[in-house]
Amino acid sequence: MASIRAEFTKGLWRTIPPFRLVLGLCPTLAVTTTGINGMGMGLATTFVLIFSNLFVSLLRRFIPTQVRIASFIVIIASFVVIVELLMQAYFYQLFKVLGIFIPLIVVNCIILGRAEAFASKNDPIRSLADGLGIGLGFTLSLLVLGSIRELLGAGTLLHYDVAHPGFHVMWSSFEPFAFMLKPPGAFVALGILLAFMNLISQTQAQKGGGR
Amino acid sequence: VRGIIRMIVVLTVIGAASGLTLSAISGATRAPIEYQSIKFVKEPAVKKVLTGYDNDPILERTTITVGTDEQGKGFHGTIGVMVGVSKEDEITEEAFTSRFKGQPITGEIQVDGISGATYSSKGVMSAVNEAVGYVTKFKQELF
Repeated sequence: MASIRAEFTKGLWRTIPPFRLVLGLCPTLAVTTTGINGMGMGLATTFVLIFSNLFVSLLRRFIPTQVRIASFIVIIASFVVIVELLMQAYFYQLFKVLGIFIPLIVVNCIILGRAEAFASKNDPIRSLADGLGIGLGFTLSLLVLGSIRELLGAGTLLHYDVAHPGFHVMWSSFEPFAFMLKPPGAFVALGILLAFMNLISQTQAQKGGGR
Repeated sequence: VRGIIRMIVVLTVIGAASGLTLSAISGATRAPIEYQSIKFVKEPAVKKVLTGYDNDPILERTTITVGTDEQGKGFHGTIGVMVGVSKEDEITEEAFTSRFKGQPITGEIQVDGISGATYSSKGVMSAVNEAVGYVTKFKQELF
């Protein structure tokens, strides 16, 4: 039991993507213009990650090593198409905003990375825990990154569409940094977050006598 | 050789299973996807040309197959026009310009073009006329 919990929680801080693994940066930087967009992308990725991990783990004894990458990609691609269809059917506006980045989940290194490095070597339960942990960590990261960019770039929080404009949290004379919503703003926000996280880890390590 | 056969079998089975699942899911989501795309792409235009309805125009729609969407020829590509027709055979408020409003739908509709946009004006006019032609043709089924 303890090891299953460890597989789950490692994705939430110790190896939280994209900050610790610095993988899957393409969707991270591209879609996090608002918190909701980031969260939508994160949840879509989590869905694919959980199921691809589960199936790769279940089939790991049947798949010959020479064709494992091809098999993993077929499995991942199937779940990406499923998530794309479901989003189109039930979250059309989010689907419109995320656009090309949903099909591109297929080539997200985090998913193939977990399939290759973890699920193909571990049993289904641990693989599920790993997928859930990494996926929720990714969702959390994208939500935080998106919210920071949205707050500074537009002055709102949790903006979804015209009908759900979210909360205006900044003071009335606040002039938004339009820069934060542009690609360079994504890099700056990601860099600052990364620096903060490293600072926290460093302080913790010094307190604990170094890890 | 046995290894190669095994690879072929495993990849084929995975591919076939994935294809089957995807076609089932695609079939199951076809109706909601169609509903969503009409709702978010066309309903804003429908709202402009028809006022005062209180039903869901997408759920209670009548589909008549006459080919593809009719679009007028514009200066650069095609023009899509949403035309609303009242039961009194008059064109209701129209999304592109109000010049068409109140025109009876019997016969060819002619309105003044906009100078500087002759080609586009003609395109819109021809699109409206095409739409009106279909309404006249399929009147029995519609009302």
